[in-house]
Amino acid sequence: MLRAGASRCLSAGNTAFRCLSTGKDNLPVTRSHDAKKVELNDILDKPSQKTPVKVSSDETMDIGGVPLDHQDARTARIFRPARETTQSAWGNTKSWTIELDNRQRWENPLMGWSGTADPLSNVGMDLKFATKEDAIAFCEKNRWEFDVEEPHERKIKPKNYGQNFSWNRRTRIGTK
Amino acid sequence: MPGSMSKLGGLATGLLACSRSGALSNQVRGVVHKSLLRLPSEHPEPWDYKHNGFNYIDGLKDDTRSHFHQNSKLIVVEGNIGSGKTTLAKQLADQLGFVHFPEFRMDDILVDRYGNDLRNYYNKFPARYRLPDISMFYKNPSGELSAAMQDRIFNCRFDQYLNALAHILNTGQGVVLERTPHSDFVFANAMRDKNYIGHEYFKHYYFVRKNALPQLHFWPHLVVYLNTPTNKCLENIKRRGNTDEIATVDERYLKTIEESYKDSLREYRNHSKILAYDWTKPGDTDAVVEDIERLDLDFFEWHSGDVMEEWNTIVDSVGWNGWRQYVTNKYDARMLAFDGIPKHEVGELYTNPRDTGHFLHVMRKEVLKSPYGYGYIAKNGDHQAGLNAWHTGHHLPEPWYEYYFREAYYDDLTSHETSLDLDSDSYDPDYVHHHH
Repeated sequence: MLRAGASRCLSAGNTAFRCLSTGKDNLPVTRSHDAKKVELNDILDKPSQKTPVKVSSDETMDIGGVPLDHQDARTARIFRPARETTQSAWGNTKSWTIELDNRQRWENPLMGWSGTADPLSNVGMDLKFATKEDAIAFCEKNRWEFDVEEPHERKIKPKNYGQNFSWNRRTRIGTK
Repeated sequence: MPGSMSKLGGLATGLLACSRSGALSNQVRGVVHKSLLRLPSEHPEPWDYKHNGFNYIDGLKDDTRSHFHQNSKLIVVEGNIGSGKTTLAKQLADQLGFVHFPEFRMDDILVDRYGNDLRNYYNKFPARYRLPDISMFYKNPSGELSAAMQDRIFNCRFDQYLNALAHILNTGQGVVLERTPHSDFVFANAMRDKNYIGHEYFKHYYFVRKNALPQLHFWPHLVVYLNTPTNKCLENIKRRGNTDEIATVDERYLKTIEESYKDSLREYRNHSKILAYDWTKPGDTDAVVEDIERLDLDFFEWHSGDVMEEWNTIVDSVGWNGWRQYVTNKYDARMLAFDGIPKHEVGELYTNPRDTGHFLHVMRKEVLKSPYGYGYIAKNGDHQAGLNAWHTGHHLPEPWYEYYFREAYYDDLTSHETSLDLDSDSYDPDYVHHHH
């Protein structure tokens, strides 16, 4: 209480003595409206987060721009290509391929080649899928009927020449 | 005992040296208040570039880096219309001892050295040469010459920025500049948003801007951005009382400017330091000065981005004198920025050559009343400039001009009507009343 009273007397004296000082314009005063600094990133506000919109069904064929002439039903065959008999034997046999049904073809009388107006006639040559499920999803997205041909893996029975002379197996071949 | 005393003395000396070097390494050299600026006694006098210009041979007797001190900085104050830029810029310049460059206005180029206000002769000029100033633009913002006015403003802001750089490089005194060519596009965006300018000129503006900004080479050291909300800006504009300004500068115009300033700040952020303030209530300049004093505007690291790069990668006197001549003379900068850009696809900038001829006729017969150009009319008291008038890029008798389109353009303008008729005897006052 004594300390508070003393400080109040001192501040009152200071206020009284202020009128006696020279250079009144240079006295510091308490001012409001100090400049409020703003962070630059608050001004350059970040764009709002994108929210995914759920759709009830796949709209790819509606918004994809496919002409109406090419939207009618097509049948796709999903398969893994067989081994080639030429030098590329096992190449291109691990991926799944889609092949569509054939459309109208005509013969070019000059060159003898066959032509077609189907832009998807050779889709199987360039479109490869890693898994069967990817190919099925692609056909469902494009609203194609599809059949899946399961691959026919060959069965390799291991054989050995020495087995012809095994004593405990029925692999002995007669010498007649 | 003598050995112990000498060891103790050595230790004390080591401690003193350590403390001294520590104190020295803690020093920071930044912008200071003008009362705290102490220049050495051998600091050179400011070079009077307005009367002497600056050419390459002047670099032999006046070195550029000797003029620099810790307050040789370019500070730019940016903000929306009515945000309180001019007040802050003036007070900043006053407290830091800088020179204040107010924002460019068309009045700066429409009044020549003889006191002729070209607006008084607009009824005699062809319509293409009646460039609106800001009041005339606010009165008729959809007029045909809004694009020409914007083109002229960008051109003159380019000159003004070079003037600010010339002042720093020639005198060492810092500059507080209001708005730059780097942020002039906020007005082009706002005018385009309200269809005051057309699409063709809008594309042309950005093409010219892309070509011109690298020619300025230096970016500001510091950008002070006043983030004032648009409703507060509208209040300030209403308080100014200009009816046409209140009608033209509305909420949409200011909102477009505010959004465009965000793009401008993103561009500034790569090259300059930025201080942003909420100016809903105008703050104290003292606080801004304190923040500026706390900044380190001399820091540059090679791998820390491009902030302050242009000011710190010039390594010798030849480089600094070259840039000083570049920004003082302005000829190379203007040529690289604006020459050679075709305008034939921008209908709003089209000038009929017959209008040019009539404009020159009016200038000779009515405005200057003399066949000679600015600075060469003896009856107006001009001194005869003789062989000493040697400078590149313009034909005025003085080596330095402030804005090219104030007077220096006049001797570069020519037409068929006037090139063979020096006394303009074929001047026809009725030209403006005929349809061409």
